[in-house]
Amino acid sequence: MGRASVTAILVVDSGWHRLGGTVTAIVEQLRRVDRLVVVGEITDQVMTAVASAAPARVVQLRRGTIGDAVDRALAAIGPAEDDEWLWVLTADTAPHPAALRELLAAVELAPSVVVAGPKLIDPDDHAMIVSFGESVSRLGSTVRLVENELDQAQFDRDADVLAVAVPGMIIRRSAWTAVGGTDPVLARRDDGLDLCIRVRLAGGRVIRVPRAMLEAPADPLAARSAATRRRANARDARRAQLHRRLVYASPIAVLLHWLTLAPLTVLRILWMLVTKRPWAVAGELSAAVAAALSLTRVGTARRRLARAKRRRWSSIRPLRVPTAELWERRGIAAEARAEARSVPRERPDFLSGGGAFCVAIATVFGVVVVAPLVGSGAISGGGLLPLSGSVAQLWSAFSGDLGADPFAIVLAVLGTLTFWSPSFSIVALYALAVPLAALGGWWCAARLVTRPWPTAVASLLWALAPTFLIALADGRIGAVVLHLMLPWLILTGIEGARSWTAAAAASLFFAVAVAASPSLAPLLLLVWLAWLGANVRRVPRLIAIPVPALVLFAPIVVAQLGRGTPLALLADPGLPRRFDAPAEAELVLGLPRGGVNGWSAAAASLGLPPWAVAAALLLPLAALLVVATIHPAARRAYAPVTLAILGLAGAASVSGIAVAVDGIDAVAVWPGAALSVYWLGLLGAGAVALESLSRLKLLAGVSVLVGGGLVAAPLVLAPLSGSAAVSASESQLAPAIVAAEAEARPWLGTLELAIHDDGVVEAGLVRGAGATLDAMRTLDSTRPHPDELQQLVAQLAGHLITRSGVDAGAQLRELGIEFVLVRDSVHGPSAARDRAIVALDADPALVEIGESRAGQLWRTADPAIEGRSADAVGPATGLVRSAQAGVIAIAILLAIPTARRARRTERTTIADSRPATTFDGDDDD
Amino acid sequence: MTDRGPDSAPSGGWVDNASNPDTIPSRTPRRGARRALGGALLAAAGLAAALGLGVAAVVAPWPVVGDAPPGIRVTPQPEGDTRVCAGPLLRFADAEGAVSDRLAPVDGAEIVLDDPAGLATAVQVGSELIDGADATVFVTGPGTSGVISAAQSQPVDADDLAGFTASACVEPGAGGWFVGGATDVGRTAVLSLVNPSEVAATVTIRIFGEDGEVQTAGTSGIEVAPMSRLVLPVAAFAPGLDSVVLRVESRGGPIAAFLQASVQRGLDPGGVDLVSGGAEPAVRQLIPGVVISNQTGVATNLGIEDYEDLLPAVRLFSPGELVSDVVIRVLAEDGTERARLAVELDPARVSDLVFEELDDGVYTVVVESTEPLVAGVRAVTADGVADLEATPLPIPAPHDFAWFAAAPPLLGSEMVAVPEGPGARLVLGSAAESGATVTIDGPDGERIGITLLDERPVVVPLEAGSGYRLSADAPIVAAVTLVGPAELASFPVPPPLEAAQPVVVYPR
Repeated sequence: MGRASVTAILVVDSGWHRLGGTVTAIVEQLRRVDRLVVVGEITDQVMTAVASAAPARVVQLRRGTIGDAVDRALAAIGPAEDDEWLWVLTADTAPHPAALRELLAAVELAPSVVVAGPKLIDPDDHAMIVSFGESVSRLGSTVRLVENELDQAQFDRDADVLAVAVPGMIIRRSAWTAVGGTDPVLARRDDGLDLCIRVRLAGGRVIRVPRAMLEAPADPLAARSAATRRRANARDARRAQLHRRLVYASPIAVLLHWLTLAPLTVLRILWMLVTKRPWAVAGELSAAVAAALSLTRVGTARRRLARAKRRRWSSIRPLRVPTAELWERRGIAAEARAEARSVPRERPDFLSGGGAFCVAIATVFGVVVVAPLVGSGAISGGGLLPLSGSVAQLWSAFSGDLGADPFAIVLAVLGTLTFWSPSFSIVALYALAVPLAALGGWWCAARLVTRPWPTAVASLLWALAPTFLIALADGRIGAVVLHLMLPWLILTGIEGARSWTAAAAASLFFAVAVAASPSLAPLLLLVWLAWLGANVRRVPRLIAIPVPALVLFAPIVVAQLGRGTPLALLADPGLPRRFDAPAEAELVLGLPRGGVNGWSAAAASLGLPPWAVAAALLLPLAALLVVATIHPAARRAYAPVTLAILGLAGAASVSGIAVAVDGIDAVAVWPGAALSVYWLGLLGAGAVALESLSRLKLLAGVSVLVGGGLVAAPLVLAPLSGSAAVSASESQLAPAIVAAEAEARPWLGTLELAIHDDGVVEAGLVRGAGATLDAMRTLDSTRPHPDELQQLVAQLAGHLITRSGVDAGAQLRELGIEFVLVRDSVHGPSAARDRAIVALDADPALVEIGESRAGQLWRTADPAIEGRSADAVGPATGLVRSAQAGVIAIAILLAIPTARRARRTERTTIADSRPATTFDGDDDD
Repeated sequence: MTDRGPDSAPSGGWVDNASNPDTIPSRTPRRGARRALGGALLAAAGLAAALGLGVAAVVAPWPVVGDAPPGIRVTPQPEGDTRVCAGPLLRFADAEGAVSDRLAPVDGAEIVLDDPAGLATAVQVGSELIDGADATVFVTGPGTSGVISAAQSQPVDADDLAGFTASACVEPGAGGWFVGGATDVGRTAVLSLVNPSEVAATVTIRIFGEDGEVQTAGTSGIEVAPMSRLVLPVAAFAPGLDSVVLRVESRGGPIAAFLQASVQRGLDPGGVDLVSGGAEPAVRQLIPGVVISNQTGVATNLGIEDYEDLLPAVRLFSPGELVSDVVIRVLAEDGTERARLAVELDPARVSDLVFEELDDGVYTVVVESTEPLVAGVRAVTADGVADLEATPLPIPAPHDFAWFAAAPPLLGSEMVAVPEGPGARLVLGSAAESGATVTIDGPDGERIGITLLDERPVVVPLEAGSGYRLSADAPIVAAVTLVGPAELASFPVPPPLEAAQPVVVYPR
């Protein structure tokens, strides 16, 4: 065998600023190249740089892959010589002086070797191996055998590999020609892998040569941001993998692969969401589309492969990476990433740091609150009604009706949790509300302060917030849900800057919070914008936080804007109930409504304004807040104080806006939701201040706690003392006979009349077994004018309760009304009510049934007929709801915490000061 | 703090605190003090800003949005007028006139219908048990209201029943209070319940006597079938009462109730009356149109045994639970107070108070009480004088009594039909303290304007058998009284039922 001749092909594409060094390195090779061909976009600069190496040819190639460049070079230098090797170099791959010698030495020992690749090392740190051999997994994905590892000669043993990278490789010219060069589709990725696989299938060997070293080419995207690189790499890798799969597969399997592209892509996208890689979704999609549409190029590549192929696929099997090894590699990589993560701030531990204790204390209060409701299947009164009787009805209330409030989903989810009796979920929520609030408050406070004591104070006062307890007593379920959500929203919102899981969870909490209290949307959006501004670099994660809420509200927004009532979007979901407007002082104290709340009677007996006692009790908290604003160490309190001011402004701004109508009353937006934000800000600032106090910490905390507890005490006792609006009830509010009839005829209508002492009448048409909370719609309650049906019903009611000559029977029948109910008056009998009863009794169309649990009941003499049947679910509804479900599903998938909790073992070292790891276990940067 | 770059002279230490916060600065005492002052100012500014913003957040002129929801005004379509006339008087006799324990009608009731537009149709509503005891019901079609009025009168002169009755044909309703009658020996009280509707009426009768409410079976849940009349002798439930007050309550169909009271002393008929339903319990009751005539003749009868109940009397009943202080004043046409009684009235017991000396005349009796009560006045008139010397027994002068019911206040325009009979007159009084102006349109187009100063009776003679229209600008009371020799009857002008008021309905 004669002396091998080496043609170095220097491809100048990018990185020409390092060209000089590369040329020098080529010139200085211990084994000189026999000839040098320079290919690429040749400029004067390039000519100057390569002049010293005296290239045999300089070939102009404006654009193309490395493979194209090599082919062009080969064309330029004419026919092959015996034993001619090609050494493929790029402008920025400066070879070690011994590189070529070592490569040739390796191939000369083994004539079967057709390709040899050097060790690609980091140009800045020659001890780091960037790439040293490639392989594929059993499933065909690329495995880089070495990737950014410190060179400790640990990879120097195994010479035979499946493939090596193109830059720096030497390859027999005959082999290059035989296998047809590189695949243009794989220019960005896997070109070497594919080339080498074909070489292997053609019978050649591929080795890596540890003692030959070459500076790795720069990443063409190096100038781009890390996120862009990450996305592009993921897309290219997937594109290359799909292409190779279609090329390598047997003819029959190609079709199968092609057909499964779409479903596989969907599954992979879902998996990406679960594993918190939403940034890879777009690339995955475009790669799949490109693969699906590139059948011609697949054909070309398949023919290229077929021409060269001499061996069976099984021949390269030993060189592929076994699955077990693959998993091991991935595990090692994940651990390395986890180790690279920063160590988070210290936080008190939930169990030993007082969290569990707070929840236990709050449970005691919760038991007091729920005691009168224990054993009942439902709660009603105030703003509460039972839920629909079955889970299916609960969900169809939302899915079948574009006008349903997003809060219907919250109710449906709640009701599904106690699927055997949906209404019971509200009872359960009441039972758990106070401890749940303490739990959320504790975690949120623990994010802000590190000491257990301030955390505990904030947690307990959050659970005993007056606005929360009043919402419970008044049955304002939306405000209750909001209060439970708010700490988690803030917590996940903060963590969302670092973690996809937390950001997705925040988006869900945001959606629930806004669904429960739409009036809070402007405030929350403002806070979100501010947080976005403070985290400009984390925008991609945070930007999507309001998206599920926006998507859920879109139909309502369209409907309300369409009828010119944009303010109605602020209306609270659920049963509208009037309340006394709070005085300014009451708002400042966190009391969402006027009227009787705890200490007002005591204050009145002392001749003071009704809020005076509560104000006095909250003085310690006020003092603490003063500390929070002036203490130099309490800078962290600025954000909570700002939040509190925003909350207060939110509460004050909405309390004058009455958009909903409850029969005779205009109902203002409940300011309690914004007061929850206010209270959260106050407690956050208070906790920071408490922590920053150098002395009197315990005394200050105790006095704040006692003051706040005393303010809350009468509110906690309100349900027990019977002064709360809510009470235990049946799970169906309709009279038993109506409920029984409605079983078979759910469309059956009951005309419900409430006759006030002054003769004013409220009339409503209820279908089925009574009004349910999930069927309440703000679109109805905020209607600017009574609609046609309401007009009809009102007219009918008016005629029924007076001695009117109008024949009510026919109208009742047509409206599907079979029952007329005159509700019991809270004030007892009145002349107006008696007159109405006389008129109803005298109506030949009605037969008296008698007293029911809800009031006086009549039934029509003739059975009602089903009027307009429920509108079939239109395609638009289905489409919109599916889209919404899709968005929510994505958010849920993203919110599932999947990253490993890698740092359990570290606990031993930092023992008790270890923070909780709920949300910081998955920073996936 | 001045921001010194790393290139500036390192005289005060080369580390600048602003650019390197991690390094603890070496402070000189002067800088420390300045810094403390700056910190304090900063803190004060922060506190002021927080407080200012907080206050501004609350007191800012936030928008106030939202009106009271619009109610829907529903004007009921009038059902049409229904007027139920009592029908013929009843007496315990068989078809041939022989005394019996069965009731039989006494033919001869004369009905006057005032129907200027000719809208009314008459329907007979009869009793299943008593042939011929048909109540006449006038109805007009839906959409009309206040277009008819009717009244009936019936003189009777039988061995066991003599006298004169007149009553308005009433609108059926939920019942009412009847103050009058007795069930003692020779006294008969018969309650008629007429249900002119298509809905069965369930009636409860509460009977109060001088010893309180009579508790007896069968007075509640009395079903009056649609389009039927039910006749109930009160004595069947409560015999032996001197003083009867009835409360009739109907559920379901509306009913018209009539109480026929008659007296027979020994073999002598002692008068008959149809007691009109009176005003609901109230602390002030006005009983207009009380006519006292031929007191000299009546007085001659008083000497005869069992004739002591001929004196004018007021019957009071307070359904509450408290003793009430009651003042009864009898006002004459000239506004003078001709009699005054002040009593403490026990609750739940019927009391009769006698006016010992009242001259002939027309009076309005005013009853004022601290507790709500119902009231009625009885008066008797006679024809000539008694023959006390006759043998074997003295022959009393023929006489008749009447119960005057407390009149409910009237406002606006009302049609009044005047039944056939002697000496028909309208007696008016103001129910408002400020007085009232009344216009009366007669059958021949004549119009009388009257100003009422107070409760004192103002008498307007009426033409029997014709219709008038009464218009008042303030609440008034009015009664039609007919009086002749041994003939006395009166009824208050009933107000329309309160149904026709529009209601405001709020949809929800």
